[in-house]
Formats: sequence, structure tokens, C-alpha cells
Amino acid sequence: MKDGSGRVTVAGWYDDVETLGDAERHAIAEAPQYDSELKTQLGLAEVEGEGKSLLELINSPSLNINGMSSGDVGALARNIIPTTATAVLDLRLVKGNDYQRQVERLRDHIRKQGFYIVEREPTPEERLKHPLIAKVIHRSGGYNAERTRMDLPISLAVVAAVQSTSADRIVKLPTSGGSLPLSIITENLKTVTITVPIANYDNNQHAENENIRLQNLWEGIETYAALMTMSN
Amino acid sequence: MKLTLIILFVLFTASPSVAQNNLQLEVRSYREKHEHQILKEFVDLLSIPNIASDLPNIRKNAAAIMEMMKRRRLNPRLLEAKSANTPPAIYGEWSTPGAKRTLILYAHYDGQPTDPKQWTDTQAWQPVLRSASLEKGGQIVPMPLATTAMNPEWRLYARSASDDKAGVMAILSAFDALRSEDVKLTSNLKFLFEGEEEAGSPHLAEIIKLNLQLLQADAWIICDGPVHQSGRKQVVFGVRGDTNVDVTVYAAKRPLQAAIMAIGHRIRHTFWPDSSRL
Repeated sequence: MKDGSGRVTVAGWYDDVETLGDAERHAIAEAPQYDSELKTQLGLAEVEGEGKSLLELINSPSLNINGMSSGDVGALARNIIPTTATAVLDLRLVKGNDYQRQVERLRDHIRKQGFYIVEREPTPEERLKHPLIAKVIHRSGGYNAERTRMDLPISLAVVAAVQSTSADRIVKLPTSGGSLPLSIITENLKTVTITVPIANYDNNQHAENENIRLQNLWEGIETYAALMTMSN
Repeated sequence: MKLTLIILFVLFTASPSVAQNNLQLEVRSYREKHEHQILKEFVDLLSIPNIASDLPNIRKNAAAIMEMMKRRRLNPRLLEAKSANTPPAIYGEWSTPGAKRTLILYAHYDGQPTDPKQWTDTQAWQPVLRSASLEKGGQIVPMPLATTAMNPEWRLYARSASDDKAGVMAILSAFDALRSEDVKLTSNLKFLFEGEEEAGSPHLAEIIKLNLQLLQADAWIICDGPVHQSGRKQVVFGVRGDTNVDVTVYAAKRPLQAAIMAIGHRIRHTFWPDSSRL
């Protein structure tokens, strides 16, 4: 499903991607790059992406294996051929992608490899008839990406307001690496979303020992006061 | 003449940022005078367990935030889903005469589940201050008395201290500062605090659809996540979408003794069709 450089080989995978505008490309070029530091922190000799930066790459749809399972390892390892192998695939999407359509492309790709696709356990008849069978289950809870144009008046006003509270040049990101169902908000209310975070980077969110540095809370108050009084 | 032009130029270009800096100083001065009060209100909120599936406690959080918003005269109300056992969202509003723009300020009050045993010396919902981060050897400092100065490098440890009750606290405290200093707002403000973001917001669409008029706004400002790792503030315009697929391939119906390569072939064929690696 991927070539040697990590590019996804599923037909049409990158076709719907909405290209970045000038403001977005400029913001990426201006943002601090932490790629080599991250490689060291993560212990990676080489990364995918044909030399593109992480900030560029997160504007492309991805396909990763979150987990795989087949047979046993460790103390339970023994000389058998397992009956099944399962992988959980993670599809990260960008503006322009539709999560249903992207999964259809994945199904087509598996089919093209010669697999007969089922959405439940194959029957004994199917097993005897088809040499290659893949059960493909699209998990519930998928959603599309969301991206607000950086050159809208409201976007410029938010940037100016946050910048007014900081002597350092603020960082503008067209998209974060993470996922949130913000499309729920924009699709139902025909509005835009802009994220203005305040927490310290090393806050251990989601893990044990979560914390906030008091100065981040204090500065967050100033940031939000600036947003509540920003120019029209 | 030339000098006058330069002065005019400087005045003209400098005035917006001077106004903003004054605002920032006013807000800072308010915060410095009230930081013990802000910390106390924050610690009280962080002391209530807030896993989305723990409904009795989630409702205690919602009730506490309702009280916080009533104190600020934000006319709060609970937005309930029709689906049973759903954490409510809390809505509030402040109308600004003459404002042409409406902003919704969003944060979420639920937090990620956590294993109490993995916290160092303290518990997730028993907030403590430390002199620095644990990684840098931070030691517990007692909650300061009203007369004790607070070091801004201190850290408050608790579930959702950052993600995302900090958002609730920063938004409400910013509003306090502006009201107290009598600063003119430029937008109508709406507030929305969600109670199941960490569970994937399964009922946010339902709550929005039940309140389409109430939740209209020119923009939703989302207060969630960290600033840039360089410490610089950041504004993020998008998030990625996400979906997951399980793929299972099959060999014989029962395990066979080794030497038959079928399963290996199938795995390879599915995931690495162009590769000679197994």
C-alpha cells in the first residue's frame, strides 16, 4: 500500500486534496521546523516523505498501521501457521478528502490485489471458492478534516489579536497534526473554527501527571482578552 | 515638514499596538491582583472527577461551571442531548451593544480517563502545585496564602489542568478582567463548554442540531491544546480528519504446523505487494 518513500500507492489517494493557498504556504515556510530534533527525540535514523518537512506532510492524507495481530509471540510462541492476521489501519485526512470515499479507495486497492472482500466472517463456501479473502470493517466514528482559510478577515483579526499580546512572532499553522471533529461544527452551522491554544507544550495531556505552567494560564487570559476586544 | 510627516507616520502606525499593549497591561494588572482567587476557583473545578462516562461527576462539573457563569451574569443554561446518558454542554452569552460580530468561545470540561496508580505521589483530582515540572525535579509547594506571591513557573498538577479546564478558566477570567477594567468588548460573546470531547464528541452534532439558532456565530474560537513547542503562541486553522479500518486476511480454518507459507504470502500481498520482504 506504500512505496519505498512512504507514498501511498492506493489509486486516487491524493486526488481530492485541496491545495494550500499563498497564505498557508507562507505560514508553513515561516513556522519553526523541529524535524531533526524530533528525529533525535524519537530515535529515528530515517523518516518517510521524500525529504519534505513534517509541517508540509501533515497537509497530505496518510495511511498507517496502528496495530497488527497474528498468532502468538513470547512465551506462547509455537510452530504453527496462524489462521488469520489482522491490522488496524489509520487514515488521516486533509481538507478535500471525504472519509467514506477514501475508505472505498482502500477497498478497491485490496480488491485489485486479488482479494475477495467480506464485511463479516467468510462462509465455508466462500473459503473454498476464493483463495484470497479479506474482511474489511470500516469502524464507526470517522470524520472529515477542517481548515479555515488564513486570509479571511476573521482569520487576520485573530492573528493580529494574538500577536498583540506577544513580543515573539506567533506561529500560524494551516493544520495541526492531530484530529478533532471540528467538521461537525462547520458543517452544521456554516461557520468557521480557529484554534487558539494556551497550554504549555510539555503538559502531559492525556497521560498521568498532567499539568499547566501558571504563566501559560496567565498569558492565556491575556490572549483571550485580546480576542474578546479584537478589531472588526 | 519632513519631521511632522515622520511623527504622523509613527503615530498612525503605532497607535493600534499601543492600544493593545495598554489593554494587555490592564488585563495583567487585574490578573496580578486576583491570581489567588483565580487559582482557587480553578483548583475547585479541577477537584471534580471529569471522565465523560462518569455521569454523576460530569453533572457535578456542569453544575459547578453553571455557578461560575451565573456569578458572571452570563445567563448560563445546560444544553442536553435527547440521547440518554449524555454529558450536557453548558452555554452562556453576553451581548455587546452595537457589535456586528458574534464569537463562540469553546472549551471542554471533560478529561481523558487515567490510571490513578500512575500519577507520581498525588492523585488526578487532587490538584497540587509544584515548583517546576516533575521532569525537572519539581517539588510540591503548599497552596499559597493570599499574601504569598506566586511564582509563574510553578505548575499546577491535575487531570484537565491543561486539557481542557484551562480553557474554561482562561476564557472566564479574561471576561472578568475586561468587565472589571470596564474595557469595551467588540463582539457578542457566546460560550460553549462541551462535556464529552475526549470521548470523541459523539453527541456534539445532536446538541448543535437541537440549538441551531442559539449556536450561530461568525466564528468558533477553540481553546484547546498546547502552544508551539518553542514556547511561542500559535494560531491553528485546521485539524485533520480521521477514520479507522480493520483488515483481516485468512489462511486455513485451523492452525497448521509450520512450513506452509500461505498466511505470510497473504499478509505480504496485502500490505507490501511490491516488496520482496515477508
